Amino acid sequence: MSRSNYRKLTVGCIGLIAATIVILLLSNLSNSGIKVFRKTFETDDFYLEGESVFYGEDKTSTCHVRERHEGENYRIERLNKTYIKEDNQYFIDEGQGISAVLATTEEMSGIEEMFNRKSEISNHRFSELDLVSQYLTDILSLAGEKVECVCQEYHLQGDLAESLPPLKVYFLDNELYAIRSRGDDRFIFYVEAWGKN
Amino acid sequence: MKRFSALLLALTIVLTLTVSAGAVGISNSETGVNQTLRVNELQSELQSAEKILGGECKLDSQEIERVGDYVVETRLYVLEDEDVASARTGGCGGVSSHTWRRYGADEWDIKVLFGAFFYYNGQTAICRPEESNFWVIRPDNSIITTNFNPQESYRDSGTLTSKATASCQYARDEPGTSSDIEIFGTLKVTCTKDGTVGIESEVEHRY
Repeated sequence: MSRSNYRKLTVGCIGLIAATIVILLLSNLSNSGIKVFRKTFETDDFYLEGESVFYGEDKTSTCHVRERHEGENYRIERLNKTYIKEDNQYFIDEGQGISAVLATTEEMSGIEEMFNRKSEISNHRFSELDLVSQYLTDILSLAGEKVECVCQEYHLQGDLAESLPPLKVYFLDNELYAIRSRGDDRFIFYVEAWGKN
Repeated sequence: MKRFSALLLALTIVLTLTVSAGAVGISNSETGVNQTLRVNELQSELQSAEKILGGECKLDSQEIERVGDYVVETRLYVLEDEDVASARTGGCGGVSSHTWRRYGADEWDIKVLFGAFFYYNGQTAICRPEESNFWVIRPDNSIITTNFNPQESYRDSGTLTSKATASCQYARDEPGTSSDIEIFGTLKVTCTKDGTVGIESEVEHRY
């Protein structure tokens, strides 16, 4: 093989490697929002804010929600009420001062369930979720138009899969856009802000 | 002496009334509800189920949970002579109910009923959506026809599922557009290929 052919082969190989690296980088970048979302929520140290919407037959109801999670502790604001869990104690703030929720040991799991229900996601333990499918689908935007999103559907692992409805997470242009967690698709939580604390 | 006797009589009457009231008004430890009211309420619910299913009914299962600011009671009613009725008609049915009561209150706020019917033949169980129905009832027994957004879905038994499932999701519109929907849930009635009617349990996140 002549020297010029060697040079061409070398340049070709370098080009191929560079192209592969660029493709890998681009594919990583395009998935970045999706990957960061899972990692962030698994840490139990994050905030989430947005609009919880129910599309009823005759009208649409909306509720602004702000959540902050720090390990076992959390704070969930829904309209004028705030639900707080701190050091395994539960509090409610209705704007006139914080009051503790008193309960017997037997009632505690019910109280926990009551508070979890106020969260758009805290019923789902992210480290125990399995990604079962990913697909393209249309959902309604807040403006009432259809937008095409990537939907990731998660189930709890193993036997627990039946105990919770699937968690559906929607990405628009690789950014976290919406969440469905209630098993009733007429509820959509539109994400406005989220991230690590 | 007379005054003493009158005083004793009055004391006896007061004591008797207090004891009677206490006996009648025993609170149910699970729901915090007056026992007499509760008996009447359950009787009335049973009668509703009997009207829907068209025969004498029995309470098949019951579960009580705290949900948000409410206590929710889930019950399933089936026909008393389920086997006989099924054999006679070739079908079966059940009524599932959610009773929503403010925590600590005697009177319930809302009662939601879903009656579902099926055919079965030992090989398969098939839903009968045209006969299934959803009701929302107030404590004065008037029926609410708006604001509850019922959405029914049906799944017959098949290779993947051994039971047919009829379910109804509902959510109550609260006044105003900016509002947090507190009352929402799913009522499910299932039927095996052998005609056994049941209720599907979603352990953690039923509502």
